[in-house]
Amino acid sequence: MSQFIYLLPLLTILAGAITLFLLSEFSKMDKEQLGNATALFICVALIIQFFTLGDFEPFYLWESHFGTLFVVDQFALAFSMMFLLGTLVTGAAGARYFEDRAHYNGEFFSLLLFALFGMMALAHSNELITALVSLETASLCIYMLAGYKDSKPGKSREAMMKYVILGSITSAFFIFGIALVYGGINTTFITEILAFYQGGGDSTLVNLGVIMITITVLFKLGAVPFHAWVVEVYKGAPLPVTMFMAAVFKLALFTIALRFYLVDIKLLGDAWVAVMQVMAVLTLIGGTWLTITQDDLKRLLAGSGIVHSGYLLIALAAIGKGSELAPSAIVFYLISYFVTSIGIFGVLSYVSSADSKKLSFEGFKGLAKTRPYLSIITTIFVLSLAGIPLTIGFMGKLNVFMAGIESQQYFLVGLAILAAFISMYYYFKIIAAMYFYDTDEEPKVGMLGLGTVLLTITAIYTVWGGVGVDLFSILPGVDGFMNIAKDAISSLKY
Amino acid sequence: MDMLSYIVFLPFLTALLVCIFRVDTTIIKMAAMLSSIIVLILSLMVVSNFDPNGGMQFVQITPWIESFGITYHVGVDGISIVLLVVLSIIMPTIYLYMWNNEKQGYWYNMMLLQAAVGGAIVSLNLIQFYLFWELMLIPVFIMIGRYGVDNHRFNAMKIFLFTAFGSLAMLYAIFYLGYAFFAANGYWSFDLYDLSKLQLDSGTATILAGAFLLAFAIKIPLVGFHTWLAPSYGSSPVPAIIIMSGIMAKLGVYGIWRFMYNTIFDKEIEVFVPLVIFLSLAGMIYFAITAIKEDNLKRMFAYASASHISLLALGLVLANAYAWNGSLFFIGAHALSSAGIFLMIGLIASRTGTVSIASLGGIATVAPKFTFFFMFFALSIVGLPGTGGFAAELTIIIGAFEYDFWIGVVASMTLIAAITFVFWMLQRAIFGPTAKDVEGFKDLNARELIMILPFFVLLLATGIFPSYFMDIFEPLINTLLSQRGGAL
Repeated sequence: MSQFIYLLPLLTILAGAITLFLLSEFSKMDKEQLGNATALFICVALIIQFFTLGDFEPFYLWESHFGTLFVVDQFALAFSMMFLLGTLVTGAAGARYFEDRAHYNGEFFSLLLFALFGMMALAHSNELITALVSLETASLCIYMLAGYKDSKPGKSREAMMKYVILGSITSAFFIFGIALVYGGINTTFITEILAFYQGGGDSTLVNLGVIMITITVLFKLGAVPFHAWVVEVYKGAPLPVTMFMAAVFKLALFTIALRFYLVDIKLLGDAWVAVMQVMAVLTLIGGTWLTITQDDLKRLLAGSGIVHSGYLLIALAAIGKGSELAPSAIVFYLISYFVTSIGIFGVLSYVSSADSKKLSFEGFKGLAKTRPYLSIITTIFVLSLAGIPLTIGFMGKLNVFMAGIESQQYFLVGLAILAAFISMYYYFKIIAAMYFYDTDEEPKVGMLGLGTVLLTITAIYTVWGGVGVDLFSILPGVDGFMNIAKDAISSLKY
Repeated sequence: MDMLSYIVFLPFLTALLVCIFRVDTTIIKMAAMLSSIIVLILSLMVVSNFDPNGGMQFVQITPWIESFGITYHVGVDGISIVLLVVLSIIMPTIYLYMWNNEKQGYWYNMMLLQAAVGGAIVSLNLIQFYLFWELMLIPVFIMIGRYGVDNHRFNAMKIFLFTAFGSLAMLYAIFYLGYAFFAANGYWSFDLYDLSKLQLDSGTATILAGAFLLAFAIKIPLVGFHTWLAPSYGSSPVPAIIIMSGIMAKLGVYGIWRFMYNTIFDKEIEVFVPLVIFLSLAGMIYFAITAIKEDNLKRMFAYASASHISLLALGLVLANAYAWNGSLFFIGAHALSSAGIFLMIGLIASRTGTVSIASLGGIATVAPKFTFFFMFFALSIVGLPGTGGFAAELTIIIGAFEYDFWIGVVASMTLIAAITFVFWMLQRAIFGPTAKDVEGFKDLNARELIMILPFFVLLLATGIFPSYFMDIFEPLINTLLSQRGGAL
């Protein structure tokens, strides 16, 4: 029974999803109440999840009944925490956004929670079919959410269809990969695949299967050349959904990717490294190329998200070269990217709904005068995205580049630093837009809502995660975040 | 002894506090002024407790980011103390200059700039140094882009990207060094003195040294890396220019001193010495000639300052006792005189609305006091005997002759070129018939006199009693040079 508490957050979210689904059908609750109910369910799950954190030996949930399907370790819990927080912030930052738009009803929130449930289950999966089902639960919800917009239904639907079709094809790759692995060694359990490789096994079928699964992961990451959907979907989707995809869903992919690669791919050797390196080069160059000309901030962040995936691919290649630093570097980078992107998308969401400004450089002009504090917060997030010291983004880059240097991928690290240099150009254009232009508008008094408080807290985490020392358990500094990352990774190596 | 930390963080904390409590502009001004005066007092206390023979002093090491062995490590020695004191002297005068400026952004940015520059001067940990080195760009970026003139938004991006490119090259080298240290020793450290003990193969080390040198060469700027210089000086508001030419440009020279000589790249720097000598000689001449034909006063003195900082860089890489003493002395003297001249240019700009030489003229007839100080600072830049600049330049040139006769000859030619552009500028801008824009030109008032007086007095004092000031760093330089002699 004591293991039940580890399942409770998942069940809470599932219960919440179903409840909201029913409520939207039968009652006359308005959006605010529905939003609050969503937040309530997430908060309950969050609190329970918080109490499950700590030092324990990783174990399989109810092993006697489920076998080794479902693993509970620090890795899964750390990511679950991030998913929960990310969804909470998405809801809070989007509150104003939903208010003005009539068609956001209980189903929207319900889908959000279903997606969250899928991602949390994915984090715990130790078996490929469970992973597939969880991933598809989340993906299907996000397909629907991406099309959830009525101001420009054509664009949004087009983006959604593109996403659904491409996403389904890659899911087919995933299934094919599972089939090949099963055909090779009669198992879909990640630990058993590990055992196979560790035993010196080598099977073309299994290798091929792994490559198929890799394609799915790379697609969802938006690695070039699987990136064609990213910019369109990010642009077409409603802002809170874009935020959810960029900040939260991207992480979910890494839960399965890391669990899978750390134990298996490390043993695949040079071919894997070469693939990842080529992908990293393409992703860095392609992503930068795509981003540098964007004028719309949603598209810009979508494109720069691809560049960030490129940095991570270097670290993934480093895993293949046996890097010690790379796994925890990836987790740290993901944490930093998570904190920063919920921040920056929260800002966008705030600006677009509270000021009804266009989300472009044009719309941000003169923001420093009308909203000085928001501009400072935005600057912090932008600095973090650009990897300027003082922010968590710098420490993330330090981690990833160190992993690259450790595995002697000097050229790739150089390329990544060059990409980071170019990224300074397009990120600093945001700062330039805010501070360089004057405006006739009067300064506005910001409202102290949940959204602003969460944004401020995120900004504090962004700075403290880059320079801080661990003063409070609730506000970890750099070392605190590093320890979370290291604990998560060490819990994976059973 | 956490004095240095107070010096670095006081301006930052002041900015943070006034930002959080959103006080009105008068209080921001007073807070900024007060913090800069306290910093000045603290740095004078540092000077008075400074032991010239003591090496690195006021050292504070605190563990910071333990996962990567990054410590918070500050300290001053004879080299950095010069920059630190000059920065502390310049700041209150800048605030005095800005006193009637109601734009809050100016005040915030200058406070942040002081903190970042101060931090870079005293940092002895490479990550910490990089942090401040990168952060000091952001206030400059915003100052130029927000309050500048003439295509300022473009120029702000230009200076930012140029310098960031160099910094990122340096960052790569820092990461590489850090990992190499970890691989060799099994624990992390980015501390300057730890990394100095690192044994690298000479090919790699040369590339890394090149990356460091790139960052510093862009910051100085050496000729060839200088295309950002004139546009950003021309566009920048005066307070930012003073810090840029007075301190930030010298940080490039200081960086070479701190991270190459006697520390990490002690041997590798020798590979680059001929290159730097060539670039700085070419730069001295090229910048001086460009300054002659420049019509915009800000841009003219940007080139003038680049020409002199090339002389500084020359003195640095010649690495003999005369050259080093002269260079270090020149860091201080040039900072004072360039701060002075840019303040005067700022006053011209605020009175007439132009800094174009062609539309000035005849200031001498309407504003005698102004003319006196303007001429004093302009001439102190070219090395007027009796000012600090003269003693410094002379010492560097003696060092150059000691190194190689022809280098000395070329170096002394800069003095002639500098005299050419300064006198010709004075003739057109200050003397001659009164131009339309100059009519009703007010002479210096009391605030402005107080503001430039420290520079005046210090330039005279350094010119008349140079040895008194050189005593602070001379022992250190002798030790450093004898260590090098031992090493070579």
